[in-house]
Formats: sequence, structure tokens, C-alpha cells
Amino acid sequence: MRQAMTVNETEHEGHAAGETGGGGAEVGSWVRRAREGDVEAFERIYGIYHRRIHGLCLRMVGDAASAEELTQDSFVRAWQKLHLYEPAWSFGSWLYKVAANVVLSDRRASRRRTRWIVADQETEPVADPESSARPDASLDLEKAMAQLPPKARAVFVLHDVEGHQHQEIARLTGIAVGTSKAQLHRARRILREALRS
Amino acid sequence: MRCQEVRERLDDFVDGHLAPDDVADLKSHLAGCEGCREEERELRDLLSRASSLKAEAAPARDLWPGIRERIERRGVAAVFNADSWSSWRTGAALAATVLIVAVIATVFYRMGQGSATGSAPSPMQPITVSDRETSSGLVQDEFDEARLELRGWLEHNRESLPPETLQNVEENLKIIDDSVAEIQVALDQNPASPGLNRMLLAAYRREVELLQRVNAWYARM
Repeated sequence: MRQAMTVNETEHEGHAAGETGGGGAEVGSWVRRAREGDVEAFERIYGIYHRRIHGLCLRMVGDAASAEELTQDSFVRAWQKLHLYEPAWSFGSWLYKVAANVVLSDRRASRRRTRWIVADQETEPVADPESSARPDASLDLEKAMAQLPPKARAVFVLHDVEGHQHQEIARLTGIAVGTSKAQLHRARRILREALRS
Repeated sequence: MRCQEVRERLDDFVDGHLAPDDVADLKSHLAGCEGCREEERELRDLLSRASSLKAEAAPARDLWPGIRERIERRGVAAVFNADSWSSWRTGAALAATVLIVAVIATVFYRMGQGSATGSAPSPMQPITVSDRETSSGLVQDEFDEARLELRGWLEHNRESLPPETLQNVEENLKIIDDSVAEIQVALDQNPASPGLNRMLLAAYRREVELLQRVNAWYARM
């Protein structure tokens, strides 16, 4: 099962942090500086984690434009809440929770505005720019995932793709454990039917 | 075990959550039922595909300039004194308490205003919300955020709490969770219902207030 937040902490893609090699101690140092208001240090943090956070957002919402917007929201939210981060925790896990909360809050707000994404009408399959070599089976699954109702999709991504347990999902999302199980069962049933056809 | 029962329990079976006796019964059924074996194969195939999806995905454009612009435009200092690193416990309690007071005050302020559309920002605005969230969404999001922050705090400090206290808190949280789940099911059918939305906010308020009491008690310890 996949670890909930495993990141290559040396990866930065155009953002300067990679020059020092990255690592837990350096992340801690950048977080400390970012908490003191150092935007450059926060850019380094972005450089380390943005692929992982964007990947989470992309899987949970299913369209590239929303995923990019939510990735930005997640990092802005993290910046604003850095004072609540406890250094004893894994920073990556904390950031991941912030992002998951941002996505789920956005979905709830969208529902209240009566414009929940109707996936089969509005959502294109996940467009991952690095996915050209992906096997067809994965593409089929991603197309099928785009058909899922938002709650079921979120729980499926968190449980079966990201590797969280129901208790963690409940803590992460504020739903009951039983609700998480019910949504997962629903998602798996829908996906199996979709992949069968 | 009948086919229907087996198929309802397949999720727990493949996730390893089934009791040993049930596992034996289910395996016995699978051995003699090709249809259910096919269901199991499909499910395991789905899980295999899901776990092989890539966790990371680079965005098609550089998102950092937009993040930086928003950070600098808002002028939000993510700053706490560096000393707070060594006194997290006090800091967390204080931050959570401030957050809750601000959330409740903001909620009451907005409820008192009826429609909050276009209302001026509350002076207690350190709570962070997305620019594009509407006022009605904003209230719940602030509650959500407070709840998740406080639940995270509770989780982190559960070992420090007396078992009876923890059990009592968790039982109350479960009652509230169940209520929220029921209200949310009803809201799925009727999302615009003012009554249901008020009930949801009331449930969240109870949850936040419960967590606030625990947090304040813990801070006094």
C-alpha cells in the first residue's frame, strides 16, 4: 500500500531548492524560515512538494484546471497556517492534510452553489502531462474515476489510490468512518461496472 | 453464506477487515461459486490498478508566480515568533482557541446579518478562506477548518488525555458525526434547504464547542 505522503525531497523543477540536495533537515530549516515570513524559503517548499500536492488535487477533482487552482489554494492556505504546524510532525503529511481539506472544502462549497461537477458531462479525464506512456488500463480507470460522484471519488482516491485507512479519511475529511466505508463501497461498485462495459 | 452476502462483504475481505470466521465462510463460498470468484477477481484487479496510479503529477504550468502574488497581495504573515517552536503546546491551545472564538463570532455575525453578501470583512479575519468562496460556503468552511484543526490537535494529544475524558469526548464526537452524516444525506437531496443548513451549522458548532472545551481544559493542565 502506498505511503500517504512520500516525496522525493530533492526534486524542484525550476525552483531553486534542489541546489542543496534537499532532505528532512533542510525542509525543517525552510519551514522555520517560511514561518518567519521568508517567501523564498516557502518557494523551496513549493519546489519539493508541488508535484505531490498537484497529483492529489488532480486525482480528487479529475480536471486539470481545477487541480491547478486547488494546488495554488493549498499552498496559499499552508502559508497562512504555517504557525499551526508542529515541527514534530512530518511536514509533508501536514501539507497533504491541508491540501485534502482545501479540495474537500471546495467540493462542498461547489455543491452548495449547486454546481457540483457532473463528471460525465463536464469533466475531461485526468490530463496528466507526464502520462503519455501510461498503460491503457490506467487511462480506463481514470476515465471511470471521472464518472464518480465527488464524495465517492474523494474517498476512493484517499483509500485505494493514496493508501489511507478509513480512520485517517474520517479525520482528514470530517466524515464518519461508516460513511467513508459506504462511499468506498459505492465507488468500487461503480468503477467495476464502468470497467466491465 | 449466500452470494448477496458474500458480495456485500468482498470489500472488507480484500481489505483484510473481515473476522476470521467470516473469512473462512467466505472462502468456502468462493471455492464453489464461479460468479463470486469473478466478482473478487474484478475487485482485486481494480485495487491493483488504483494502487499503480502515479502519486505525483507535475502541473502543466508554473503555479508558483500565482501563489507568490497571492501571498504578497494578502500580506498574510505566516509568522509566529520562532520561540513558539519550543512551546507548541501553549501555542496550539492559544491558536485553536483564537480560531474557534473567531469562527463562532464570525458565524454569529453573519447569521445576524441574514445574507452576508457584500458584508465587510470581520475585524477577526486571520481565518483563511479562499477568495472565490461565497459567504454561505465560507461559514461552513471556517467550521470545517476549525474542526479539522482541533481534531488534529486531539489526535496528536490523545495520549496525554485521561482515558475516561478521551472516551467521553470520542463518544460525543461520534454522536455529532452521525448527526452530521444524516443531515448531509438529507442535504444531498435538498441542498438549498435553510433548515437543514442551519441544523448542519448547529451540529458543527456543537462539535467545535466540545473540542474547544477539551482544548481549554488541556491548556489549563
